[in-house]
Amino acid sequence: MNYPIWVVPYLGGPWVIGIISIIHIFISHFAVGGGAFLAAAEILAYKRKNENLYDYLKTHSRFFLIVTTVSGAMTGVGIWFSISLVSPDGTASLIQIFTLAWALEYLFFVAELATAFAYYYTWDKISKEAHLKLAKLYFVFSVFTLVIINGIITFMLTPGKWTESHNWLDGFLNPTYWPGLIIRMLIMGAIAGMYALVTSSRIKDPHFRTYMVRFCAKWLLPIFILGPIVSYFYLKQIPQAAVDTIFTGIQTSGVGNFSVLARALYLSLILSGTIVLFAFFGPYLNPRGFTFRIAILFLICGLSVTGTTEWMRELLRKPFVVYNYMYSNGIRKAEIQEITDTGFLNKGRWAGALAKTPECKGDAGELMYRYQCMSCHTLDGYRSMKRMIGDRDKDAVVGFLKMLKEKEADKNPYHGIMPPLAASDEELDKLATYLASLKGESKDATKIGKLP
Amino acid sequence: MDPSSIVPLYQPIPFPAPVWLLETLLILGFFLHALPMNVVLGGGFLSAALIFAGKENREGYLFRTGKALATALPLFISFAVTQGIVPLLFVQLLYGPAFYTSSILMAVPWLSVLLIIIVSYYLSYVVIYRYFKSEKALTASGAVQTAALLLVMSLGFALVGFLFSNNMTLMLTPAKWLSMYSQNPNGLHLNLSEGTLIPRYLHFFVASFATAGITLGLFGLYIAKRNAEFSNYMIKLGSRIYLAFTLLQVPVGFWYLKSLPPEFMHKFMGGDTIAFAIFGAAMLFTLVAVVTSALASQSGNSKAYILSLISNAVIILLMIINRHQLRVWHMNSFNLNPNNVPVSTQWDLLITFVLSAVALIVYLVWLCKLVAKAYAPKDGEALPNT
Repeated sequence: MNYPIWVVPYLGGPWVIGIISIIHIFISHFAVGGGAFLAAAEILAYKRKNENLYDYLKTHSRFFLIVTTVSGAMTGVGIWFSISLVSPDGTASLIQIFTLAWALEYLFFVAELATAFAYYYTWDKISKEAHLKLAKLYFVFSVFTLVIINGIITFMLTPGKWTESHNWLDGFLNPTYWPGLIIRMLIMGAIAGMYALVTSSRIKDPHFRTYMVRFCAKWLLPIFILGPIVSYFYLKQIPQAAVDTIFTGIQTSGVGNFSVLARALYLSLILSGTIVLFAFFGPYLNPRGFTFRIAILFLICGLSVTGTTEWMRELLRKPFVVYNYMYSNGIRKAEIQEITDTGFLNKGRWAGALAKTPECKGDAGELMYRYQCMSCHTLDGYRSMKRMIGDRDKDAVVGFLKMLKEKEADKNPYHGIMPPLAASDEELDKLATYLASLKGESKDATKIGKLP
Repeated sequence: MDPSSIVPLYQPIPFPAPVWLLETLLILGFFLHALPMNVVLGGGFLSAALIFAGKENREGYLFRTGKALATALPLFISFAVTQGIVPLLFVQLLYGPAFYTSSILMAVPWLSVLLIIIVSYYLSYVVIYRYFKSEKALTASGAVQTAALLLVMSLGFALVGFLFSNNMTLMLTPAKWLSMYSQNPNGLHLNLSEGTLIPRYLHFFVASFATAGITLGLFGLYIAKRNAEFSNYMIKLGSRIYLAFTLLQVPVGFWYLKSLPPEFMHKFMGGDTIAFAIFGAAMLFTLVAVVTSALASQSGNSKAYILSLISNAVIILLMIINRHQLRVWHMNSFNLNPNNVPVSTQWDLLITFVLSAVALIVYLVWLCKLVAKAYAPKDGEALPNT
């Protein structure tokens, strides 16, 4: 409400973040897991004096360097760009709390990148021992970047004691910090294995290819054995309301009414199961028949699992950006009561200024929609508002909005799923008028009501 | 309408360190970003021109200089991107209310920055692995293709710089924001109506050629023991390019100064003692840089060259401080002042950060020594990876 709202037709702002994030996570996890892979494989090559393996590593490390330093780094910046466009209040809060943690992470980035370049450019130019040391150093630095960013990511779902103390360390070492860190490290190993399967499948010598494919397949297995155990500890730490959302979804699945969250969970489990079975029966047991195309299939499956799992994690946090502190529409929990009493449009800088423009005078309904609903809904596309309104008339919409305004779970079934409506009675009425006007409207997503 | 009424509020969370320290980190961070960024922007165009000009004689110095520069670009790009994190972080912290708003108004072009950088960055690698490391680079037509790719890459980077200039100027002018958003809320704006945009952008653009030029001399210094003649050639050529673009910068710089709001221009001209002193010092160093680079461009004298190299770095730092002052004046004109935000210093994290920064510097020195030793001159060897 402090900022203008970026209107993204059909897709909605959150998916802009989502698309960039999924790509980034898949590559950045490769950057860290791949570091472990390179170090482990180089230790193996060193111990066995295996020149074939050294040659392979030289090729693989070029692929590694280019993918991680270009797309990995840029999509990382991309997440940052996109969250500040879609959720400026949330981003500003995170930055004000964790500026120095981010600054610290930057130092590790520099060390990581410099080491990656030094590692790649010194193949055959320094002693094997010195080179192996660089591989290990790269791995250590990349893990440190994860150690730091993991504190900020997990903080958003479980800010823990920070909500009372406002001490950065309470927020950083929050309840899901450790399980989150371990899960990510396991995933990283698996992703590193998948990428390495791609380069291994291109090895010409059949004996060595078989050997490498089997070696890579082993990297995919730990997550599927340890993952469920760590996930249990992770789920134990997340807020009860979020857990309830999953289980309500699962319990109602039988009648075909399962929630989006449950669907994401199923999809993630099915895809993970597919990967582990195929990894075990494919490259692990039958490395000889493994081909480049199969390796690409693994990558696609891996990307899909990453996507659905991260999406699920984001859904768990709904309706908050920072759990119990700020809702996804940028309104702080502590502000809700004041807004209900004095009105939303009197509170935020931009919302207030826009309400006074000639285009908007007397019709603040659409403005209310943008500020209160559009952080999760679009008009015609993702979570379409028109579809949800359906044939409801204004009275029905007013009834629904009044329910959304309730702050108690027993009066508001959407409590814990959607932010409470923060509006005065007059504003609620205007919003209802606007929403009801969407009823049966022709599909024209780019033009939104009277506001330009 | 009073523009300050539309500037968003800071979050009700204290800053983690005193504002003067955060501002210092912002300036220092931008300085460390500006150095490699300038080499990338100017260096891309220069390497394209050198390779094209030397296409017929690919053993000649012209071609080899262009090749050496193009080969080094991915490293510079990587550092420009990484060093960009620091100023981005601190500008969001200190001036977020203005920066987030202007970014939202130009969201689509702003996000496209990422895509353009990815494409240009990959192109820099394509040039190395498709051309320099294969037989293709040995033909004249291969050289033309290389130059064309480098040109496309550079145009990408130039566009990125232009989009940044748009955002950095838009964040200073809240009076425009509401009408822009009322026209279109999809984040499709640029700040083309801004009078300072073009001179400001050109001021940076021209500087990048000068900085890339002076960096060529650094390549020359690096191979001084291996190939004295080529080294001398690169120092002379680099200094010449530097001199030409620095002289061109004088009228561009004055155009930019003239385009500023009069009250701010007068501050630089003596109205504000500190700003005037810094501006004056920058002019003085420019004079030093012009004289020393003129000397180096004639004789290839390495001492004169090093003086101009250092002067250039100092000029960039001073100009960045001036740029920061200009931003602060703008911000104050619409009452956005980070000094009004309470501070609660996170000592534990601050000390960890400072110690880690020192450790990083030590580590980077060790790493550089290791790599330098790996590439220690051997008889008859060309530049690394060329």
